[in-house]
Amino acid sequence: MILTLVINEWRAILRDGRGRLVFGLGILLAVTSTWTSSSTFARQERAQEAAVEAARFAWEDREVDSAHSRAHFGDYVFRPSGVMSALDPGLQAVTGRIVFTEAHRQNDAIHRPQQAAAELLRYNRLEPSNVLQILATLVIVLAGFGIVSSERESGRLRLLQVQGVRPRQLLLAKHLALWTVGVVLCLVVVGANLILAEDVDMKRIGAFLGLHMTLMWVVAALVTGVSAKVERSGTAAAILLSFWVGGAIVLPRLAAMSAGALDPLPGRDVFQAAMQADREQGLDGHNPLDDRRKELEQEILAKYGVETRAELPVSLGGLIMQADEEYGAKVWDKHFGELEDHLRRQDHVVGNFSLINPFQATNRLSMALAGTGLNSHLEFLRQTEHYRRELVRRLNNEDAYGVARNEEGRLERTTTKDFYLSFNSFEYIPLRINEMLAKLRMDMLALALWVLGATIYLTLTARGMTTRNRS
Amino acid sequence: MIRIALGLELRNLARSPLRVLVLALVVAVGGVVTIQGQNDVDRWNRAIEEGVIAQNNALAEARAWFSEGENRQQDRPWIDLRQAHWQDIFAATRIVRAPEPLAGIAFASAEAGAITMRLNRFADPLVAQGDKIENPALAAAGGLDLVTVLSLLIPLLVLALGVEVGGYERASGLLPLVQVQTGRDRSWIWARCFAIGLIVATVALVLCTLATAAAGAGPQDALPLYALALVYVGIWTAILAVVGIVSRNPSHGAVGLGSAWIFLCVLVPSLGVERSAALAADDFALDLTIEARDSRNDAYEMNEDELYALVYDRWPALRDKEPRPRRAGILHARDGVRIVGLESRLRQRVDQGQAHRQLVESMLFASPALVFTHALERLAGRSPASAQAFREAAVDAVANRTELVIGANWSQKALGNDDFETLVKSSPRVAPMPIAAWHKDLLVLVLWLLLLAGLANLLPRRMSQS
Repeated sequence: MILTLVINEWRAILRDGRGRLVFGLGILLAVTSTWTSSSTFARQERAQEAAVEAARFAWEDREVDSAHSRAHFGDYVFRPSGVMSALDPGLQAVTGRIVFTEAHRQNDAIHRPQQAAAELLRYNRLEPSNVLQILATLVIVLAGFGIVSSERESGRLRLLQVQGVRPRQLLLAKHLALWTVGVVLCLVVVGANLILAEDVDMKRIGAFLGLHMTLMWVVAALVTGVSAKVERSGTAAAILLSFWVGGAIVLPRLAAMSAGALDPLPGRDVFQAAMQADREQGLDGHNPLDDRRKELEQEILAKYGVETRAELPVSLGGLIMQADEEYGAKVWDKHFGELEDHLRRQDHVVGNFSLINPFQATNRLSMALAGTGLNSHLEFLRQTEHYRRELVRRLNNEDAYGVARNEEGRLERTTTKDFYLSFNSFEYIPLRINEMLAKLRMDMLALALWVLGATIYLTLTARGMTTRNRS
Repeated sequence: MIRIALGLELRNLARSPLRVLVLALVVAVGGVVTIQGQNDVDRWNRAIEEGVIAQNNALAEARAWFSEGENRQQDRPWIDLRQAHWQDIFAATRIVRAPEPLAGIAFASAEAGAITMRLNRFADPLVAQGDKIENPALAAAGGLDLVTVLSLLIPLLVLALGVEVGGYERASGLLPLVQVQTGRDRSWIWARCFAIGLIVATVALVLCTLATAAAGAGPQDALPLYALALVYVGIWTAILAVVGIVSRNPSHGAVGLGSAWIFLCVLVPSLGVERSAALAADDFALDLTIEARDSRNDAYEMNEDELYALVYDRWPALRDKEPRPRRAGILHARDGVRIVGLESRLRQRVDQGQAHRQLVESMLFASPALVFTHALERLAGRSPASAQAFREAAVDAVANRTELVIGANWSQKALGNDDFETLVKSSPRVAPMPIAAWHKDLLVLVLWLLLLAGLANLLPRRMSQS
C-alpha cells in the first residue's frame, strides 16, 4: 500500500508543472555543480602539485650554502585540497593557501586568491554540498509544501481516507516520496562525483551521502508534517520557506556574528606583540650580548671541556640557534594553543546553534567529512609548524655539527648537496574521520535529535489527523 | 487609492503577530549589526592607534640617541644610525588605511586586506595580512552586517508583508469587484505594493539613519546610502507587483516571491562565487613566493652594470648620485632591484585580478542583490578596490623611500638627525582611497527598477484564479 502511495506521489510531483520544473532544476544544478566543482578541484590539484614541484626545484637547485642561510631561505608549504574538497571545499576560500616556513619565526597562512572578488564571498558557492544542503532541501520544500494541504483543499484527502488509507500510512508515503526526491539528488551529486573524480575515498563519500540523506529525511518529515498540520497551502508555503530561509541563510550568519561578538579574537598586532614579548625573554640567536646566550655558551664550553669557542669542535652558532628555536617553539605552543582554544570556543558557540538548525549541523559535519573544516585547517597549521621545526632543527644541527677544523684550526663546513637533497617536501596527512567527528559531537547529537524530533512530529501529526477524523 | 491601500496594509500588519514579529526581527537584527559594525570600526581605529604608538616609540628611541649624541643602543653595538640601512629601519613609519565613515555597515565583508603597514625597503605590501585574526569557520558563514540585512532581509520583509497581494484578491474574487468599482484593477495591486514598499522603505531608512548616526557620517555619505536603499526597496516592490499581477492565489504568490528571492539572492550570486573559485583554482601565488625569492637572489648574481642600469631606469635622478667606487653602493642598489621586482609583481597581480573584476562587473547585471552589495561595500570602503588602493599606495611609498635610502647611502657620508627626519617625513601617513563609485551601481539598480516596473505593467493581467 505504502509503495503504491509513494509511486503515486512521485507521479503527482512529476505530473505537476511546478514539480517537474523544480525537480528538473535540482537535477541540473546538482550535475552542473558537481561537474564545475570537479573541474575546479582538478585544476587546483594540478596547480598545487606544480607549486610543490617549483618549491622543491628551488630547494634542490640552490647551490650548497650554509645550513643557516638555508634556514632563512626557507621552504614554501602549499596547502593541498584533499580528495573530498570537490564535494565540499568548506573553509578553503577563506583560509590562506601558502605558509612560508623559515628559521626564527612561524608565519601565518597567506594568499586567498578569491579576495580579488571578495564582494561575492558573502554568498554561498554553488558547490555540491551547498546544492544538497540549500537547494535540494528547497526542492523538497517547493515540491512538498502542498503535498497534504492541497489534498485537503481539493477534498482528495477525505476520498483517500474513505478508501481505507490511514493517516499514518498516507503521511509516511508522502514523506518517503519527498525524501526520495532528496535522495535522488544526493545520488546524482555523489554519482557524478564518482564518475568525474580521479581519486575516491569510498568511506568518506558513503558518510557524506548518509549525512545528506539524513538531512533530507528531516526536511521531508517537517515539510510533510507542516503541510498536514495547516489548513491552507499558502500558510504551509510561508512557514516552510521561512524555516528554509532561517536555517539555510540567516541562522548560520547570526551564529557566526554571535560567536564573534560574544568572544572576540585578539587583533593580529596584539597577538604578535604578546608572542614577541615572550620570545624576547628567550635567546636571540643573533645577539652576542644576550646573557642567556652567554650562559649557554659557558655550558657548551664546559661540556666539551674547552676554554674558548675557537677550541670547540662544533659551531656554537648552530647550537645557540637551535636553543632559540626550542624556546620559540614553546612560545608558539603557548600562544597558538591559546588561540586555538579561542577559535574552538567560538566554534563551540556556532555548534550550539546546530541544536536549533539542522542545516548548520549538516554543514559542519559535511566539512569535517570532507576534511575542509576548522579542525582540518588547524591540523594543517600544526603539521606545517611541525615540518618547520624539523626542517630548522636538522639545519641547525648541520650548522653546529657539519663542520671540521682545518689545519689552521679554523672551522670549515662539510655540508654537501646530498644533505639538502635528503630533505623531504611537506606532506599533509589528513585527519581520520573519527578524529574529525570527535570534535563535532554536539552537531551529531543535534542532527540525531532533529531526526528523532521530525519523525515524532510527523507521527503526532498523523495521530492528530486520525483524532480529527474521528471527531 | 494609495491612502486606502496603506491603511489596509497597516491594519493587516497590526492584525498579524507573525508579520509584526518579522518586522521587529529585521529592525532588531539591524540594530544589533549596527552596534557591531561600530565596534568593528572602533577596533579598526584602535589597531591604527596601536600601530602609531609602536611607530612613535621606535622614532623616539632613535631621536633619543641623536639627542644624546649616540648612534646606537648600548647593548647593540652593530646598530649605527649614521648608516642609511639603520636609518631606514628606525625611521620606518606606518601607512594606514583609514576607515571610511560608513565602514561599519559592511564589517562582515570578506575583504581582509591590511589596514596598517610598517614601511621600510624590506616591506612587502603584496603579502601583508589584515589586522584581524579571523576564525575561518565564522568567515565562511558569510557574515551578518547591515549590508546583509539590507540586501537579504529587507526583500524578505517585502515578501512577508506582501505575500498575499494579488493572489488574495483573485482567490476571494475581489479583483473583478475592484475593476467594476474603479475600472483599474492593476492600479489597486500597484497601490498595495506601493503601500508595502513604503512600510519597508521606512524600516530601511530607519536602519540607515541608525547606521549613519552611529558612525557620525555626514550627508555626503548618508545620501548615497539612502538613495541606494530606496531604489533597492523599489526593486523588490516592483517584483512584488510582477508576482501580484500574475499570482493565482496566496500560495502561488508565496512560491513566486520565494523563488524570485532565491533566484536573485542565492542562486545567481552562488554562480558568481563558483566562477570566482574556478578563476582562483590555479593561483598558488608563485609570483609572490618562489619567483619573488628567486628574483631577490638573482640581484646577487647581476653584475654592477646590470644592477645600476635597472636602478637608473626606475629612478633616473639617482644617476647623479652614483657612488665612487660603484662597488660601495652595490648593497643598496640590490635593494632598488628588489623594489623594481615588487612593483613588477604588483602590476602582474593587478592584471591577474582583471578576470575577477570583470566577473564581478558582469555579475552586477545579473542580480540587484549583487549590485546593491557591491555599491554598499564600496561606500563602506571595504571592497577589493580599497584593499588594492592601499597596496598600491604602500608599494609606492616603499619605492619612494627606497630612492631616498639609496641616495643617502650613495652619498657616502655619515647621516645625521636631519636625514633621519627627512626619511620620517618622506612617506604618507594615510593611503589615499578611491572615491566610492556608487553612481554606476545606482544606475544599474534604477535600470532594474524600470525594467521590473515595465514588466509589471506589460504582463497580461489575470482577473481570476483560472
